[in-house]
Amino acid sequence: MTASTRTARALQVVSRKRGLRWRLRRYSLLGSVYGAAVTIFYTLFFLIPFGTAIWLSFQNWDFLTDPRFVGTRNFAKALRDDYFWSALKVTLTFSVVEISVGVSLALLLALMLDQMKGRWQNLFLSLYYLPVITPGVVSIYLWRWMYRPTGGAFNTVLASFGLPQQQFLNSNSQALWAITAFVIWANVGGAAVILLAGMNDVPQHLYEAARLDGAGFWRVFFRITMPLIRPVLAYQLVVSVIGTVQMFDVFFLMGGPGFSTRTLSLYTYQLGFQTLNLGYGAAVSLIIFLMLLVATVVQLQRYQVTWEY
Amino acid sequence: MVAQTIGRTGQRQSAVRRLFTSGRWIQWFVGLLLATFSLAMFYPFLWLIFSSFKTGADIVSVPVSLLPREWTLSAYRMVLDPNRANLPRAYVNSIVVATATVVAILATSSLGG
Repeated sequence: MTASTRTARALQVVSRKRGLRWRLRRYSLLGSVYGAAVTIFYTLFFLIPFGTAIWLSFQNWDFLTDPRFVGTRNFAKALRDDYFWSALKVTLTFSVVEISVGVSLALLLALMLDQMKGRWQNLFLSLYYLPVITPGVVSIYLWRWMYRPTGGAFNTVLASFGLPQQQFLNSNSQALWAITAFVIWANVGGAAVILLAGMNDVPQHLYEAARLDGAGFWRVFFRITMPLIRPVLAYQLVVSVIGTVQMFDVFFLMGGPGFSTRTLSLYTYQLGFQTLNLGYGAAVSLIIFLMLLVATVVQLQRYQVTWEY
Repeated sequence: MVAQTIGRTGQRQSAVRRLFTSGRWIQWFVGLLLATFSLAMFYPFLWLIFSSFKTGADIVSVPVSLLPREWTLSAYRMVLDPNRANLPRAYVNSIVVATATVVAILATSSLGG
């Protein structure tokens, strides 16, 4: 054992007896302040609410009487609750369709934008990005107004082509698709920007080598572009899954009739703050959290890429 | 004689033919697709912009039209009227929130990277 490790060991023993100040002596004061700020912030705004939600999911509470411990009854109730399953079905349908159409469209756009140069690329990119910088509520109300069955903008367009008028948000069968179309419109620009950035990161010499080897456009796309933008694609997929499953504002402000567009997040809100069933609402929100956690971990493992080029 | 032949095939080609033989038509085609799609993306904003020049009755009229029947600035006058919509105050609020958030995030999160 060398002298230095012995000193270090001795210091460790000593430090156990000294206070917090002594243990933090090697860090600057500013560093400790920053660390404390982040710790306090996270405890106040993340750990405590999250812990409360977990605690609440084992209670029955209606805001008025005292919370009553009910064990895992809330979770068992969710599994037998038809409304829960219908909300889950709506959520998954919306999520799967939005992501598959949205990401494919964004990939296609990014691929086309990649062919354009300079000024034109910037022009198209900023046009596609406009919905992303528009406040959500503004675009939701704008689309709701355009979806109006009588005299709405979309029905006017349909009429000018001689097509039958549609009910859009007033119809049980169309409302979810109308909302999906809006969400794709609102998000496709952001996804295209991210995918295009991924494509710009692919080294140019790989394309040149492929061209020399006589590879066609699609071959280059599937053998070089796709594998190399996989980390970016994985990021986009993970973020989209979380974003679509948690999406609340659109369904709250644009909802269709009855239960046709009631997603899990909206159901959680209604349970907690409209029927005042806070314990059950917290249990459902925890189920959403667990689903997303599993989905994210699986995705990250599946798409994990350690690529050298 | 030889020079004439070269001149006929090389220099007298029409602009359209040159476009196709050089492969640049793909760029034009892609540009056209992108432009069509950006029109679809921009369409809701078109309604937003033109509707801001409509009167209140015009906006909810039933055979709705993109262009206002009667161009008016009344909506803008209403927004700029401090008694009806306190726009300066809203601006100040937004600026305060945005500045505070950006400063706080830059001061704390940039150290993390």
